[in-house]
Amino acid sequence: MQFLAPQAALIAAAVTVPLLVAMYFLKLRRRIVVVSSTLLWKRAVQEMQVNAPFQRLRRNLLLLLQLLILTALLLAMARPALPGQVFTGERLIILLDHSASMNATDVKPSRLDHAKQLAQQIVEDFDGAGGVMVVSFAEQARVVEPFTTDRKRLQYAIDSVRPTDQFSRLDRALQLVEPYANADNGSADGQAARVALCVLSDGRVHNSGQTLPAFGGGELRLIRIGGDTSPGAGNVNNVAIEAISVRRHDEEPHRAQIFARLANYGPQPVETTVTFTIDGQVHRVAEVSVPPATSETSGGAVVMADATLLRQAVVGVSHDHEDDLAADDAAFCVVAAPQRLRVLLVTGGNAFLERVIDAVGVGKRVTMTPKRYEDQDPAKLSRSGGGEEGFDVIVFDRYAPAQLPPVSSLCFNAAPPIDQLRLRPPADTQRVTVFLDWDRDHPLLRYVALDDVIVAGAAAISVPDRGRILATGPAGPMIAEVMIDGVQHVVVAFDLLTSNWPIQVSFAVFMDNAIHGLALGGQDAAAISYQPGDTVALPGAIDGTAIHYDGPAKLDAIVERGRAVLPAFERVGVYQTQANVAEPWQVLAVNLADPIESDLRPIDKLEVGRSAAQVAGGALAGRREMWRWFAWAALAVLLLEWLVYTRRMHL
Amino acid sequence: MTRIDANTTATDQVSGTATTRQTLLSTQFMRQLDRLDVLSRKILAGTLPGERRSKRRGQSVEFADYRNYVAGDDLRFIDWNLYARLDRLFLRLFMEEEDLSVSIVLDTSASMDFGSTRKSNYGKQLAAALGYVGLVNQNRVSMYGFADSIEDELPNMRGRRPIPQMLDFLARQQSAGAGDLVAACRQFAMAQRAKGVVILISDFLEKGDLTEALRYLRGDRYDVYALQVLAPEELDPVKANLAGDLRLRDVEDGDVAEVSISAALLKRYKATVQAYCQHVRDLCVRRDITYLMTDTAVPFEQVVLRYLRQRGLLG
Repeated sequence: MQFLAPQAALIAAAVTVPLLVAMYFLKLRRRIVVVSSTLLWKRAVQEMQVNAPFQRLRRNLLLLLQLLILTALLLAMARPALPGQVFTGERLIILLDHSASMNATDVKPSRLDHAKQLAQQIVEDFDGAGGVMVVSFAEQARVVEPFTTDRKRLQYAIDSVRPTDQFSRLDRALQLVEPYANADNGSADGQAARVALCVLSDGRVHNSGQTLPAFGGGELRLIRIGGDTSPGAGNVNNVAIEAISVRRHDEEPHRAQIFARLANYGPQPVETTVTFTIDGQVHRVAEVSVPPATSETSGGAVVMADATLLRQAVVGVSHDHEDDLAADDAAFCVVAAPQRLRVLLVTGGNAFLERVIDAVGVGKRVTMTPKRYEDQDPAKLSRSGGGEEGFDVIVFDRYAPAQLPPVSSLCFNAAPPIDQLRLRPPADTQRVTVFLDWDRDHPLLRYVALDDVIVAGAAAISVPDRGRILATGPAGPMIAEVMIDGVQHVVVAFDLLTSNWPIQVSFAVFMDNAIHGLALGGQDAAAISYQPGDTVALPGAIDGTAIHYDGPAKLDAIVERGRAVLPAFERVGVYQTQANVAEPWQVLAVNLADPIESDLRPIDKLEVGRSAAQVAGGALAGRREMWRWFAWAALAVLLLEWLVYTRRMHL
Repeated sequence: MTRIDANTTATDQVSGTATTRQTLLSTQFMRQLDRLDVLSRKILAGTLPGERRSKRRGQSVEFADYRNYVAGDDLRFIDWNLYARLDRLFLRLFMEEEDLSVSIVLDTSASMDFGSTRKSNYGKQLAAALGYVGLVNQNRVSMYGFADSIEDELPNMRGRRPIPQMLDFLARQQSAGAGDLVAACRQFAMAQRAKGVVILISDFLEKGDLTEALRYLRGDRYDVYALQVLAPEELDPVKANLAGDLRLRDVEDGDVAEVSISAALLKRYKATVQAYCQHVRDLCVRRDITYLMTDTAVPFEQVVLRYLRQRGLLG
């Protein structure tokens, strides 16, 4: 046992113990009672003292009890503690996961609350001179409280971390704290302070398929929250609506099919009822049996329903199975009113593109030469409200526009004027290259096979930090996307006419994905939904107009330069606005739809850098303070003293 | 029967003669006492003819014995019938009837002014009852009140006439001062030379030598009865609500005893009281003194009519 505040207790003991003893002897003001004779009393007392050698001790029982109470209180003041599994080092960084899976209630009241309790305990136990820093992370990492030794501030900071439905991006958190890992703490010897890193998370983190960056500081420990059972299915109980999709019929756009995929992460098969809703009204109810999860994958079931959607509608799918995570029990999407896309093709002439654009079912294709394009009023290029002016997507063929187009664009062998985005010309223009790798899960490359595509003289794309590489060739990225103010721009690094791609089936599929996807900000052509962490750029008519959304959280944005960019979604659900916003953005649907966050099964290791982080169970055996026990003991002895006193006073 | 309110002082109780007479002895109780007489285990000689047989052969009508005639005897007591039959002179002896000296010695020290029913008042009632019995039976009754010495006395009362005087005497006795039983007994023994019954009413809470005190009352002169009167609060302090840390002050000498009341101490105290009473009893028995202990919770009428008769003091 150790004492955290022995000096305070010693000072208090030096003052109070002599005071108590002195007061005991001073305060014993006996009540004066007149009796007929003291003869018998004195004889009785004398006989008592003769017959009871410990009588003096017994007479001072109250003093002994009071000393015992004082001792217990003084020990409590000294903050006795049992040494435990505490973090060592001069500094400590606590990474607190507040992503969607941390809202699971398999640990009461929730994983996040449990993590916050552990964080409070860790802060209380840590006594490094450099202090503690608290970082919360979900989609983004944020320093909630920089290094400080003020426990009150740290506790307040930990309490202030709110739950979100975003994804857990531990890699971003590690990148954020990396500069602190070897930071000089200003010590005289100039050596870096040892920094311990404590990750409070369930371990279900997104790392973009890459290994988490190594932490260059001292000890790194993951304290796993939830799922104290051995790795595997365990006692997880979660059924998620993992995906929702609505497809309008090509020939009859008012008819649509609703698809939803249910995933079961528990070890037991689940019988549940799935409810389809349209604009809040129950459309159909179906009984579904979802098979149990295996050690590798979740059990899945697909449900579907037909519906007639004449106008824009909010389609929802939910199940009624009682599970540990509520965020994924329902999913919604906004189905836009049936409309035909307007596409602008800027080219000096490309029959392949013209034909394939016509083939993917757009409403109107307009072809312009680059010169004529530059003569257009940029404000009129954007289509708003489904009108007959402007365009949904602009395709640039071998031409880079002078200004960034206001609508989504697809550029072949050209790069729009975006900072850090450029094409690096090939060293050998005749050299034939192929695609090495591509992101098969990206909506634009879904069902696109690039194995047989041959390209001559392909450039390489310099992708800015906020860009995303969709396909890679030997010389570098060959297809990439960049999101600027909610507007998506896709760049293909070669000329179609120098490749065999236009005659491949995959080209038609890619163009279909791209035209429909880009037309609605990367969303499915018919059903629009977002995920937590996404940002949405809304077309707005008048600059300075405030747009406010109500829903699971409040969202506010101001229209600037014809667009209003909403903050990243934190909670799932349906958001609605009364502002004058073009369809389909009057209603926004945000779904978790993420297998990593929905999978509540515990992990057994976490790869960080080249090593696996130490995983500790949720029950952190930290230093346990014992002062409460001493306080209780003091109270118990106080009661005993009261009983003894009362017994003496009322015989 | 009249009970004395424990919340009033002894002074209040005895203030006023009319009230006192009524308080000490009720008319109904006096009627019950009329049937009693003071008895003595010893046949003691008195100074005046009375209603009691004496050791001395006297001139009463009750025949006692014969003895041979010697010259100088009163010729009137010769039994001539016997002389006619036996031709010898015998003298007829008759029982002499004398009065009995009854001395009632009442403790009036401050310690008697204690208890919910004051011991002093209880003692006065006992003294009044015994004095009344003595007077109505033509005995010679003397009353003594003592603290550290005999403070007041009312000697040689006889017959019914001095009964009011006796009651007034008792009424004016105030419980005050430190008691000194040794000095009081010595003083009594020196003053009372006549043989007779001595009734000592006290709490016997004597810090002096109790043995020496009783030694003055021994001998053939006195037939001594010791009546120890204690309050219930003295026998069981719980009844006096004694608890906690106390400074006990002796009402007589101001002596102080600091005690912390506990169950063990109370138990020990009760044992001490019992032992002390037994000690007093043993002292009395050794000196042929009849001992009776009573506490003031027992109605004094019951003490007089039952216990004193059982002890042979009254009959």
